[in-house]
Amino acid sequence: MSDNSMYKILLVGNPNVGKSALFYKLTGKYASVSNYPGTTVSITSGKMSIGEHHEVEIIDTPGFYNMMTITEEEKVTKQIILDEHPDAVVHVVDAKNIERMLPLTLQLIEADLPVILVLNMFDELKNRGMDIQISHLEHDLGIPVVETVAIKGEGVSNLISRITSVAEGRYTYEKLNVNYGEKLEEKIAGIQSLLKGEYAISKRSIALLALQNDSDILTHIKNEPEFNKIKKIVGEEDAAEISLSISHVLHNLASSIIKEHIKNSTKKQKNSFQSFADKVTFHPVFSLIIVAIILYYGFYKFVGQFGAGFLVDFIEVNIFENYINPSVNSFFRSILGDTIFFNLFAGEYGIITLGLRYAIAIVLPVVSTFFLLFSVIEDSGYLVRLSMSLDRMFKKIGLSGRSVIPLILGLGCGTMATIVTRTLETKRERFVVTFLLALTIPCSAQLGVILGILGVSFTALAIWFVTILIVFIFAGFVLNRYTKGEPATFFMEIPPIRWPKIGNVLAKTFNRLKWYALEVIPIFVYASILIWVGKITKIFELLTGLLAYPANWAGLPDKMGEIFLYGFFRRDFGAAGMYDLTDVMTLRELTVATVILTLFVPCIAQFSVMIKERGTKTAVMIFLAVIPFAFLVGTILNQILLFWGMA
Amino acid sequence: MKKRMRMRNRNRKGGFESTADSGRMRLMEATIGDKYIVESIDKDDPAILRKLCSMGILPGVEVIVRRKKPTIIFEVYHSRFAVDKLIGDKIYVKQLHSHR
Repeated sequence: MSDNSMYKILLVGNPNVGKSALFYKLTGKYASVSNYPGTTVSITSGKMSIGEHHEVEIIDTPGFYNMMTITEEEKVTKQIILDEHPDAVVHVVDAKNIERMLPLTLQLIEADLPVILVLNMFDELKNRGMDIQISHLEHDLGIPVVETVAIKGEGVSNLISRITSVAEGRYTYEKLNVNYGEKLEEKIAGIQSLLKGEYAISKRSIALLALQNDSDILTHIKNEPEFNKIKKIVGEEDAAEISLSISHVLHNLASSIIKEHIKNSTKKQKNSFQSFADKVTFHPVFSLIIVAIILYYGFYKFVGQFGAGFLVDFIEVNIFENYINPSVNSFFRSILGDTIFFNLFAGEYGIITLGLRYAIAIVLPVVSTFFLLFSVIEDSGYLVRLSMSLDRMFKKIGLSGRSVIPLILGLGCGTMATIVTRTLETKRERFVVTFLLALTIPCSAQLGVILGILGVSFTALAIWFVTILIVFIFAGFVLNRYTKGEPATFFMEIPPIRWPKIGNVLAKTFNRLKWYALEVIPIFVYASILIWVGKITKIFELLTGLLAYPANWAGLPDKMGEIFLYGFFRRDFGAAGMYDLTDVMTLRELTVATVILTLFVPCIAQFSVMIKERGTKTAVMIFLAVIPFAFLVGTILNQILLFWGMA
Repeated sequence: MKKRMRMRNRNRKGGFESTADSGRMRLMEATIGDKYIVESIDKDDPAILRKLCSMGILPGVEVIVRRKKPTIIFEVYHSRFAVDKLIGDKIYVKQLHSHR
């Protein structure tokens, strides 16, 4: 296939408008996620064929609200617009909210981009007794407008044919003009006339963004011969004032266009389930009851007992111990004999018999059940409500309610959660959450094992929980006090409570699991190799010997040194190793040991993601801060428990 | 430029206090369930201003406050937003009928 026929299509729009659902309908399941060069923002792209001859690349961009960008994610989308010359820009909006979202369409039109407006979730608009005259709207905007219900696949084929005609240049755009008033227009014209270069977007757009002091655009045009003159014009203006009046003009225009073509019905369709759900989830007491129900049935019963208990037992005992391990062992013994290479693949620490066994038998069932639960909660719209109710409490440790999402995800997999910190708005908040994830949040594999070990005594479990909670709050306060930057602000759109759709939930869970299998499991396999190398080179003996000292200070046996070390290579691995010690250690020792293990450095997968997301310096700093702190807490806890007379 | 902005704010606030007719108040002071329109938005924090602008929360827009605790929840167009006090306090509203 020649490169010419590979069109590039950009999907843009707010979050919560069904952009991802549309993306999947367009591309099928072949989506690949990659980091945009130089940033931590991931871009999903997929391919779609049109007929037999054409292939189209669809790029799904993170949330995009305005050409005047705020978050890192938005900046990336703008960068793609500026650098990659997309053949079509598909602006997806929530149909019933068109009035609020149309200003971005207008901005894209002004930028001379090949825009297609998609009114998604059109059924929800109709359910509210409203209707939009698409053809009239199309005429007024001078761009193609398509109605879709992405989840059901309605309107998608129409969209595809529109995309094709736009990408092939067969659609004639009739440019809509926006008038910002004499004063502003004069300034725009002034800057426009100074721009000499060729750009992917119109000079008028560039002038508008420059006047609002948009740093990306100013960097983009810094090679202009008259750049200093442009800067001077920009400097004379109050950028905030200009932003406000530009938004004002765009919104007024959007309203006047929409008011003509929208049919509003006076009959208000009240959805009794949704208004009931709102009352309950906004209520301070009932929302706590819901949290308790989710914790008990979701986490404890489903993830804990079903995932970590039943499934783990079944896969571990019935499949690995009975079938896979014996045959793997005998196979490698037959070809490798009793050499050190036998131990690389099989035996006590082999890649297959231990690395894969732990990954598939212990971690996978727990993580799968957790991701399933998380997707249900996420899709129901409840997660946003939880963020909202916890915002005030989180403010005390300098975080916004938004950080609830990565922190809860951390209970599933800290590695994934560290990546999800991208959704947080400030660098400061991303750092604090990364730190707290590394220090205090146990991942599901670890949680499962800890519950198993301490499950025998409610007191021990309570001591573990309270200690971790105190450390979380204490670390939060300290980090808040000593981290530079502005405190976080909270702003979220609240989606209605919806019954999660099984298809969506399964797709999300599947995608997360796929990511986990492709990104985390290989690291666990490498870790098995490292353990093997460490064992034969005796480096491990040295390190476990070193770690035995702080273990002793916390009143723990030497053997714990080894477990802490394995805990780094595989979080679950360390905890699982403790099972063997449950008979020889007292309850006090087990409590202290699980506390240290929870606080102790993140696993190797999470650490590598920390380096990727936060940079080596920050990651190493967190790493080095966490080790002594974990042992310090352990030592103090041990003294307190001894003082109390716990055996 | 910053200094100029601060001056303008002071002027505006001064104006507000002397002409008590406008019924201008912070979002936090609005009565739950009543219709208001956004009267103005504080410009002292450009990041917040931009965010509100891109969400379409602009002077002239109708707004209904639904809840004030634990966060402020309000409706604009057909969407609901939750904001903390810091952002909420940047939004000034006035009662709809006094406007018309």
